[in-house]
Amino acid sequence: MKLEVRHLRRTYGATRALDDVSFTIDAGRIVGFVGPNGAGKTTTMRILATLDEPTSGDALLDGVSLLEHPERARAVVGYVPDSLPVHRDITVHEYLDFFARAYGIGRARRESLIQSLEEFTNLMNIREKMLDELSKGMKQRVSLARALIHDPQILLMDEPAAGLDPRARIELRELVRVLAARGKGILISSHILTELAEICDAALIIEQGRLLRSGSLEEITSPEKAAGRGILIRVLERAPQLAEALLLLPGVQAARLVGQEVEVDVDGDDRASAALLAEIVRQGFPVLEFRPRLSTLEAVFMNVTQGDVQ
Amino acid sequence: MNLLSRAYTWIDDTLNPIVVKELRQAVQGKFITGILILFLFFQIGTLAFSLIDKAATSNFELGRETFSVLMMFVLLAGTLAVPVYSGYRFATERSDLDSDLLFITTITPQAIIRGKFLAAMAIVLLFYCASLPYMTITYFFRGIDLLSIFWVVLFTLAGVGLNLAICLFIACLPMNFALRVVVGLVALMPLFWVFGGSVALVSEFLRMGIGARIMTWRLWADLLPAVIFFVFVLGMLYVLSVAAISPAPTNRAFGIRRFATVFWAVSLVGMTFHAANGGGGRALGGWIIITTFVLCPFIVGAVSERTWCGRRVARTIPGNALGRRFAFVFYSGAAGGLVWALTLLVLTQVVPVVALEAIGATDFGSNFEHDRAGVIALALYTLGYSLLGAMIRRIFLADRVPAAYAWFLVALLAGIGGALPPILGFILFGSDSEEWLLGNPFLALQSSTWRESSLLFSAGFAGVMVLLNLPWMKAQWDHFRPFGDGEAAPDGEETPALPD
Repeated sequence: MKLEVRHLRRTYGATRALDDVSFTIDAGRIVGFVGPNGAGKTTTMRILATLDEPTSGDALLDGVSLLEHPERARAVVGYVPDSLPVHRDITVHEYLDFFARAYGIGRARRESLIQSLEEFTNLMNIREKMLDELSKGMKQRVSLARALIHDPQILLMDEPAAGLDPRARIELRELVRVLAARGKGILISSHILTELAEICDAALIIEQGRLLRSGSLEEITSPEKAAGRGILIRVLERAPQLAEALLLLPGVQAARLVGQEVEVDVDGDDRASAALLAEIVRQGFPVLEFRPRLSTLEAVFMNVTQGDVQ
Repeated sequence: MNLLSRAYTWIDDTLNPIVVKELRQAVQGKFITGILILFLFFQIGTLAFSLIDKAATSNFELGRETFSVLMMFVLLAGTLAVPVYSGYRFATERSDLDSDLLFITTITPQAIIRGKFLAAMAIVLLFYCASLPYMTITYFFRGIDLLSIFWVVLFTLAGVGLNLAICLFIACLPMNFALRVVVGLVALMPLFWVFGGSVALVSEFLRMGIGARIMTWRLWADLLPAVIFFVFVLGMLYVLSVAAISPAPTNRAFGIRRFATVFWAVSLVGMTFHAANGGGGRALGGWIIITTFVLCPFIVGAVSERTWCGRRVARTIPGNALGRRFAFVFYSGAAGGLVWALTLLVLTQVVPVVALEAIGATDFGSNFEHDRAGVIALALYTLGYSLLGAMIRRIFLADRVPAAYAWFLVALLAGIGGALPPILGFILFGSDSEEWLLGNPFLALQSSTWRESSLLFSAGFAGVMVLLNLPWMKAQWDHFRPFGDGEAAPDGEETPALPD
């Protein structure tokens, strides 16, 4: 299943919560949704979950408009909010049973379905525990199980890792990977960019309702797209001298010593990089490694966003 | 699978999920169990006290007195404890997030409210069932008959239902916790009023020997207006609760207007029938006054609605001219809401006149003209202030006051219009003449001297406001088109379909 978001715009009075946001999520892909607070992530997710309507634009699920056929969207979209609502005096199993009933899943299928979900999300040993007695990590697993109850093909996860301890985060990450492997398209927002970078195939960077970057992680973090372009050079010896020598070469903007490596910012394309390598070798430096410096998602995020909120 | 198993599966699949969840929570929670134990303790205590009372042998009213005390405990649990408990639970659960999660399932807002109501009713019935043996025993104490017992038990369920609906409605209101607590405390007044009224009526029913009169037409004819009013309040609380929890982009007003219109027609037929069968023209006159009064808040509500409908709602607008006109009046929207309320107001004044002639009655009662002038003036003032409020908000406060809060502006303007002129008149001119009160919407109801002046003034005020707001209303009609037939909502407007 493919989710295509086309030119979404959402205004609240004079405030533009979303401004011409377009992206695609394919089956089996994990897409990270990154942006400061108030950037428009939750608004996007709420629209995709059919809980809100855009001012203009549309979202298509395999070509079917989600706006015009919300009931069809609800059958294939699962939504995991950042926290589980307050429910007292109800066990994990009963909570899942309630949502299974709410989705109209009949008794014949319900029991086996809930059990399989409890096993998948590792809830079997706490299924009789009261919901309000659970830790944040356990609640997130319950929330995920609830979102999967109708076997959605697209999963929207709004800050699922917020407030989780490291173990719970790792477990959640593994679950997300397994779900993607099962062919579900996943849109996941998080402030923990290092973790997103580990599990995502692609990322969307949004600020003030505008999509600043989108594409695969390689595309987003590649030197061509990143604001800070550079090369890392590792030499067998004389690294400090190399750093000084590089500064004298044409096209070199900066050269820094980072451990046993030299990080250099250069102007120009691959041809210029090749010329730089040839010059270093000609000057007799024993080059072990010469590679482009890849930016991290965090670095790209810091470079492209201003930190402004509406 | 045998028949029994299939029947069980069918029942299990048909059950409202909310009812199942609520009852599970109630069983596992301590509150209901605690109240039930306390309740049984008092029931047994009361019965034991009646039995060991030495004067009991000579008291021929012992059964009635004991039953009244037992019934009071049932009413305490049924009209106060359980509704407050259910409302509190719903309010604490009903964060926006929780509602959201339900709305992405196939469950409807109607099913949510029905489920909450039925689950609470089931708990109340548990209390009734627990107390029924004790209440039935009072029959053997003398002074009460079995028919009276069962009638009173059934009757009190109406009070239970009303208080439940009030509590659930308050729980549905989109407010923060602090405001909800304040509103909840204020709502205790009607809850206690219903409780007190139920206790008083139980006493009165038993005194008059309701069991003997239950099969008489006279009793039901006397009760009819109260029954109609009860059904209206209960139904209105239901549709309002459904609208309050429905997602913003949905057609929230449709259910409310549909119910009110159907009820308007059914109650008119009912009151005409009642008038023709002994109630007389006064019954119809009373209906006109009450209906006009009840329709006034709908005008204020209409100007607090959105002016655009989103794509999902627009998809359901009929393409034909007549269908589109009907949809405009019944769908969520400020101008449509105003047209709907005004149409019903006019029909309320006109149709009963025809009905009066049809049943051969001569007039609507002695005070009718005075009361009618008062409520018509009130409706005109409401229309004038509502349109003034909507206009001020639109022109000067669009960025600061969302359309959904226009009602507050209307109330403020009516307050200023009623109170400021007499104060200014007194300060500036030393005059305390009643002319300064012409801005007061209730003047015609209070003073017969100023009735005509008040009517004239309110008619002029409402007329001017309608003229000034016509372009605004016309624009809404122009944009009210089936999806794909209209232009996109302009940038910066409160669109689409959000009542802010």
